[in-house]
Amino acid sequence: MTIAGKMLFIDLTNRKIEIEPTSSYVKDYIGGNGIGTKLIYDHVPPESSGLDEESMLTFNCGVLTGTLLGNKCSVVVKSPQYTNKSLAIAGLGGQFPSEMKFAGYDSIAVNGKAESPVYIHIENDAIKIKDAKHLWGLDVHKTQERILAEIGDPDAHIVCIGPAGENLIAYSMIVHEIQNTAAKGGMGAVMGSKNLKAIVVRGTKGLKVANVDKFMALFDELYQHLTQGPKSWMTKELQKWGQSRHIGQFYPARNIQTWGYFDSYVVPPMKKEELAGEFLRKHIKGNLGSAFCPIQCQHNLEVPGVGAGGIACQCYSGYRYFVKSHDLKLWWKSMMLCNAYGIDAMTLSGITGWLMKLYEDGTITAADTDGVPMEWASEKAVLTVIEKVAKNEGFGKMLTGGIIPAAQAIGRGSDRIAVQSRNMSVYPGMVPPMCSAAVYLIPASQEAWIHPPVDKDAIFQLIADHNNMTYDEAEKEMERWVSELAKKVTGDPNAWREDSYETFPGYAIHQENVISACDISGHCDYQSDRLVHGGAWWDTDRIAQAISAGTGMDCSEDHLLEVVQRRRMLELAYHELCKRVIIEEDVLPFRLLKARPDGYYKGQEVDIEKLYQVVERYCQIRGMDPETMIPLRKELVRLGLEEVADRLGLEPDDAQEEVAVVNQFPGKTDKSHSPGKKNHKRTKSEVSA
Amino acid sequence: MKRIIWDQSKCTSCRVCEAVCSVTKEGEFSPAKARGKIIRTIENSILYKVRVYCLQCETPSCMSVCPAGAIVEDDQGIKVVDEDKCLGCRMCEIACPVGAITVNSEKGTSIKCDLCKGLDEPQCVKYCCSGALQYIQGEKAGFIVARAKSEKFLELQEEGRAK
Repeated sequence: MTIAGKMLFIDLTNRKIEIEPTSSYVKDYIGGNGIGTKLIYDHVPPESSGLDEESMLTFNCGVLTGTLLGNKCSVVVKSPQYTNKSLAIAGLGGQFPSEMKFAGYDSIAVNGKAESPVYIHIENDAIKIKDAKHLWGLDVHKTQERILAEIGDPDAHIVCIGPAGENLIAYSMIVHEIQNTAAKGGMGAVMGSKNLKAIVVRGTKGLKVANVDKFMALFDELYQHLTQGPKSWMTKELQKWGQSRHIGQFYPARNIQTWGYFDSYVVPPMKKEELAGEFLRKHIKGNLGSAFCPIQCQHNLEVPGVGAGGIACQCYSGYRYFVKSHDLKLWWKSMMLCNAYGIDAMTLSGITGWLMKLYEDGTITAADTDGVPMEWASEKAVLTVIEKVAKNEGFGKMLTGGIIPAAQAIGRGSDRIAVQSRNMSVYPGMVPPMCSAAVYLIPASQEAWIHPPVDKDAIFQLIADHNNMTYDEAEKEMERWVSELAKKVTGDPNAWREDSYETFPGYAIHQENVISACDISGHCDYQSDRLVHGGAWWDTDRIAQAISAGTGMDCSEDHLLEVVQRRRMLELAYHELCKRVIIEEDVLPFRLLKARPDGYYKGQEVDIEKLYQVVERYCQIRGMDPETMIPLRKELVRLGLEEVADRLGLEPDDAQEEVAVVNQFPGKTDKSHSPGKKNHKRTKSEVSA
Repeated sequence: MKRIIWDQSKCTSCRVCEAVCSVTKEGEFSPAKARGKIIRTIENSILYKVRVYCLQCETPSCMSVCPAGAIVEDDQGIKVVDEDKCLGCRMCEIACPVGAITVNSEKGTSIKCDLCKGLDEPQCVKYCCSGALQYIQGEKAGFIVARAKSEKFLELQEEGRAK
């Protein structure tokens, strides 16, 4: 079956290696981030900072990873970056996850701390802990090169950290090959805190498929969808252009985005040399991506005078929109530098933009940044911040914990203008009103930014382009796709729209669920119906069918959704446990809640009362207490998590009556109490201040 | 006879061909058992790829060195392994000039591409999303390769003009 069967536990303090069968976790958590969440909940005490010996670094493949319907693993840790230091999940693709499965492992979990730098070398059943003193300090590319030469196996696959991870920067990342990263949540620092420079895997085993005909029929259906008809535009666009046109050109063209630190939302048209698509076309060497994914949405570029590297996705935004620069050479330089050091470019570009805003406002001066003026689009400013942070030098020391700790150090209201959520940069591409709704879900929902079709206006231009439609036709087509799904999952075809405060939570929960189901199976959520506005359609029903065909176990859609809900409840319970012992207040991105001065959303203000409703409704559907945002006891008991309810100290006679079922149509809410009171003490005047 | 041609410039190195091959032939996902492999090398952050698979040589070395006569030409001219005769001696592996034949260590017999004998077309070609793999009548294959190269030539010429 497509489950490899073994989980590898490595204790670096005692150099102890243990193997456990995966089967004991499969029934309740199936795989991927399901197992990862359970591992962290079970093994890492809430008191852990994420960077101590008790923390655990886990790589968790989905049950279909290594097949045509799965290619990623979920890296799950207790995050040193997020406020409350709670659980963080980052998806990692490339060749490493599949190689893990071919070596026989579904999960690799590392705890403890090595006395001196080491790397772990896994070749099928042989596992060795090797000295890495000579690799400490090297960037991620040299590290991989040296290890491959050292072990004499060019087909091995490596995850490693750069100097940023070694220096425990709270937003350092784990890198594999050129551009695959586990970037959010501070995964690199967790690895660095264990004195673990790299994990090398080589596997030559196979994954037998329980029902080949059924499995291949599902793959064939997916493949036809990806390559035929109007919805296949996304495959063609991503394969050829990645997100270079979508994010790198059309976002600013539609001038409707939150736009980082810009004051105006009307953006003058970009010149040809400022278009990321043109840059890609000029410098492309080939595609990159995850093993066995037909799309290969990432790109390998070689830029004369700067160097080669890989690029994808959101990265087309950070070092441009946050720092108000359209200089693509500077963008490429910054991206390559962040990558080599192993630091999350999205977070650091957000911090850099924030420093520039503070400098413009006069809150800080050049003296605060070692004499380098933080001027907009300044190459010197951008590159200095990267160097200082990655090496933990000078003013970089103040920034190593992220934007919120830095704002607390600076004071003077600097936290209120930070475009962040839970100490992570907010993707500068959200439609303002919906973004605000998502922002209010932040305390409840880690992945707030992914909920709505935030990029719809940029997407329908591409749909039009590929299908020879007018913009209006493409917009209608896109709306039809999304409305159909919204009706199916919430009963309201408009649930996805910016002002559907009543039904939006149901739609948001559907999106969370399908992403989680993808993580559990190992499938990329870019092909799932969370991107239905792009035509993607891989859904929880098909994921369940694929899990059944691959593994041979009987996995219905209901069972899959129950596992998804169980994982989510465990995650929320863990958030709560962490919150009780590590007191760090979330700071809302107030800047995003203000009315826009101009542009498409000019003057639209956020209705705080309605946003409260969003949180309340979310809690009701999820099975949480809207007052405290803690999972309800009876929902935990229904899921077999009575022990969790006890650990949370929930009384058996919990007074809550409403426990709705996931995906059920969210009806009218009871407005007798104020939602999320204990978490949301902000008033309207405070927000607009 | 038809054969598979691979266009390096179109290949995205997704390795779907490897996965489809091993699941079609062995019912499992295993690059080790795939008849065609994408060999990847990263140098200075640039990915280089070569697809290694049986090119159906006119004078196959594997056939000439096989002591058991296990590599035979079928009625359509496809060189295939007769598993009943194969000794698993690996002589073919040494002789093959492109590295396209190996031994399935579980079965103990040689494995190589047989163009998905018995199916409508090779499954790797069927699921090649980038169009890098094509299944072409022998005489026409040369034209396809030439055309692919000529497109690159025109592109470079165009860029030269733009400068």
